[in-house]
Amino acid sequence: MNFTQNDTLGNAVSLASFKGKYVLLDFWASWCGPCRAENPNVVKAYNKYKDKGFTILSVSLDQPGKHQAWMDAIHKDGLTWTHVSDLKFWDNEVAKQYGIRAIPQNFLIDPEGKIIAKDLRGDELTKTLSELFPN
Amino acid sequence: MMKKLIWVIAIVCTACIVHAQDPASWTFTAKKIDAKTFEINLSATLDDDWHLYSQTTPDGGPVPTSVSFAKNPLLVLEGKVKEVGTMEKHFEKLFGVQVFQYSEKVDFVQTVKLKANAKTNISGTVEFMLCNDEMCLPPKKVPFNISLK
Repeated sequence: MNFTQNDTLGNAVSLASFKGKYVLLDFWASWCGPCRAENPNVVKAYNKYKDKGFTILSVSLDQPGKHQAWMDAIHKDGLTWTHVSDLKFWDNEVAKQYGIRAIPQNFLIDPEGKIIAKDLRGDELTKTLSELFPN
Repeated sequence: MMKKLIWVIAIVCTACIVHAQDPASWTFTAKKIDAKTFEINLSATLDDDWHLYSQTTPDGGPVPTSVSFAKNPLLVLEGKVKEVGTMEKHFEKLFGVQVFQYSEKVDFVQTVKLKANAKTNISGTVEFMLCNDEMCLPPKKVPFNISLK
């Protein structure tokens, strides 16, 4: 399911532009404790596989007017990949499109744009990626 | 055909489970204090490991619980909504803010006074967000309507 949403600088980013790579579509928010607690795992996976055809696109369910909180959390947790949000909290258009009823939540999308796994938490993420990228 | 049917059942049942996921249950009661004074009790019971947040939890963390009462010309609200329960205050290193939360059980208590001897109801909604260590759920609004007698 393609979508377009703005990054932290207001530039439109579409999921389709990531075709050709494995993409982790990650739903989170700066105010969400369990999401923040999960971030170190996601950072670890990103650093290990970012040069092997893997990347991350994070969608934030931050609240209206909370651009700074969103930015601060990205910097604090060292999330160096692409981030998008419409700052509409749980009414985030992409979250609605993907039927998100709890966060964190993620989807692993293959280079053709097909969802091949979901809700990869903790070691499951690195385990799944190690199977996709054996070397 | 059979395969298709199994899929349909699987999808429908997944929907049931998601729908049933409601870690908070509420009871709404009124206690008569004197002829014209009542104590309204909005009582939340939480499943193990779930948290609900104080009305006063600082900005930047989870969404505070809020209670709103429908206007009723026969009633006066006395003071604010008090919280009765064990508030857990912890500094959330990840946000850099204090989080005020409740586990297991909390009561939101409001005193109301009748302007005259009349039978009436007090209605409104309580809005709250829940998290456990694994996830946060979208805020939910639960309506209440309590008769005062």
